Amino acid sequence: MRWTDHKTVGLQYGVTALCFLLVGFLLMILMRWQLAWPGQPIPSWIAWLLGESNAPGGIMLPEFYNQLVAMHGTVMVFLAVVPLAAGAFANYFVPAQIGAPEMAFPRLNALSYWIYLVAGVIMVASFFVEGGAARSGWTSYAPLAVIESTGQSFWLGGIFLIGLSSALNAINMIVTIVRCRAAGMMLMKLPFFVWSQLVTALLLLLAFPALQAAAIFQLMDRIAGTSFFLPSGLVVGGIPLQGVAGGGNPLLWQHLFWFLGHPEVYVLILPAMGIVAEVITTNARRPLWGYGLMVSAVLFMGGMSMIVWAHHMFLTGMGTSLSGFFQVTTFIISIPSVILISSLVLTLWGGSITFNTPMLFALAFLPMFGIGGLTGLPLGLAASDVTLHDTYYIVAHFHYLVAPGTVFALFAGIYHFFPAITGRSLDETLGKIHFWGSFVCMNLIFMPMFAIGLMGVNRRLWDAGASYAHAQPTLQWQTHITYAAFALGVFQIPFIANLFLARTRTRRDQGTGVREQGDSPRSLIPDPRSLIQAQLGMWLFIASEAMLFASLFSGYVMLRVGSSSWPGPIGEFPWLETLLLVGASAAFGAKRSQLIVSNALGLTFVVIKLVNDAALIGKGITPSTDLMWACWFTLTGVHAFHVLAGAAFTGWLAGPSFKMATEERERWAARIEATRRYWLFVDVVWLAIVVGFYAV
Amino acid sequence: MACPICNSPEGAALNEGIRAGAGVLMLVSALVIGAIIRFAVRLWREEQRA
Repeated sequence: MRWTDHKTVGLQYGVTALCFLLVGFLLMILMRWQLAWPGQPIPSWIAWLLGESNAPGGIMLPEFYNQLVAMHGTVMVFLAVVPLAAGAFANYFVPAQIGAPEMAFPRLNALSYWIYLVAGVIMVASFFVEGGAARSGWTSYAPLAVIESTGQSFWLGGIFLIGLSSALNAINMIVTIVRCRAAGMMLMKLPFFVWSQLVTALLLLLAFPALQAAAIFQLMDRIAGTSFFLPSGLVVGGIPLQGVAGGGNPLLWQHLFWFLGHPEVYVLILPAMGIVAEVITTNARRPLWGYGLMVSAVLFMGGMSMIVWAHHMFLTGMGTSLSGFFQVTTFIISIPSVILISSLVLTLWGGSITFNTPMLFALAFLPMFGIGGLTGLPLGLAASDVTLHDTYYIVAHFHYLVAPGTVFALFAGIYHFFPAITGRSLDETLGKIHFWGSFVCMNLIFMPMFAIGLMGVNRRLWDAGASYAHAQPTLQWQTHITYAAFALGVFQIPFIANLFLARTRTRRDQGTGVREQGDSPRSLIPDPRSLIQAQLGMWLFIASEAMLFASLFSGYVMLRVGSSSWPGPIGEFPWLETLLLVGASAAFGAKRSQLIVSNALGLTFVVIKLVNDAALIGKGITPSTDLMWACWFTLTGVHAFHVLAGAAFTGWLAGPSFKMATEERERWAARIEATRRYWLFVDVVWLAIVVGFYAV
Repeated sequence: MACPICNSPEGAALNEGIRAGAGVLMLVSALVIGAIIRFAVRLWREEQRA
């Protein structure tokens, strides 16, 4: 077994994500208990586990309930479902389906998994820090999140690392699909599953940096005392918030969060569509209906998903022009969704269908996704969204997409691909018990929530609305939903047992069509020296980093244009830093002397930046002074970190890596070319920053 | 344009800021997606020629 083998990484992602799925499920069970019997003691052994600080006398505190809500959503979305769909299945099967023996950058692939694991551990470990885990919802809305306890900083750190892991995985996936296909595997011959993973990778690559930028801003607010998200005159618990400059805009967080948040929905859905397409075509014995149409739809959907984000924010009073734009784009994006579902249904037409367990899960996905999608339409209209926003209707809507939607597709994938992975089959009887139990329970849980939401019950109430008259008729439904959630847990036991019992079954060594673990023939590994592969990888990295800086810059623009009293000017134009940086990239080349000069100039830039910052702080100008300085310190700080990384890599090229210049010329040329582009990128970003601060 | 909710000058400025900030994000997204589409078209043509 090699740690960088794509199948090893796929399995690592799969097992870890399933463990996090269990964690997310257990958090949900605790939430459901509280909602069914608010204010009543939970069983003593659970209360003992939670501790007196979270459940004194066995009665769950609202603060702890809020932690459960925030971490259930976070764990399920970022640590369980996306890594399972876009990490596990993609890493294991995409290379095999395109005829590539390995991913384009195997070491980066392994690194992406380990970063994801560390991020997950950081997030879950935050339950044990003082004040507990994050408790501002999975959306971590400011300003509430900014003034929360230490767990929120863990959440932000974890999210940043997940973004990094996603970017590495996405770059690998795109380069592998684009450049490592077997001869004759034309783009329009790619399995639909591969197309779905390609678009998913593009979305992760381009959308996640916005949340990383938002996380940087929020960490600055929490640690450095800035006020990106803190408006003037904020009152907390009846007391005006002290020690912050104010003037920030909480809506900046929402825009940046949902710039990722909405594409993330398609990151959840598209791999599920790909898996369902695999299962349906196999078990209906029919080719995919309208393959070209589906590929066009998935590409269109991916592009459109980047410009619908603010439909989550109609209540913020964004104005009719922006609201109108986002309503129109939201309705347009429903068209490719309908095309995809219709094509999958039409694939069944005239097929010879086998109703085995994976097929049952795949077939159930279609109407469940349909219910989730159709109930989203009223939320895409500002007028109806005003009424439905933040009610249980929303919970029902997105859970139909993700729980009986994507999770069912993932179960379909696990049952379908398990024999190909292990050489052993799963038991059909246990599988069908798992399916029917899950299918019934999921609907018993989420269908009543539509009605509860339509009755106007807010979804964030820790007592399920027991203190509100309009929620009284819905309280007994909450109890029924909790019983259904318990039953759902019971029906997962056959699934877990099935996975373990499979070890006792005879191994089928033939007919799986997939190589055994770690037997990828080394000689067939795609040539990592390929210049074009490294160039594409670097271009994609630059695209992702461009989105990071665009997000940071959009924050600056939003705050500056939105301020009626922007301070300024900022000072003298930084000629010296600009010359050093431009010099570093101009000097860069393949010779050792060029690399050393470039490295020295880059490091000098960073040192000058640190000295200048220290001088400013000495004069009493800190990031918390006002918004202008907050933006300056943050943007130039993130940029300086990029310069430092470039200088360090250049130094490594000049030192330990230089022997490659003579031993592996093609690989060396690829590294030099990719690094040159990186230096040009940091130049362009610096020029954008100084023009933005000094010239405009 | 004044704020559609409170009609205050501060609200109007905030609204302008949001439009400008979201505009920057959309503009850069469009440029990056445009570059990706250009690359995809070139890749497609390469394949057709091969």
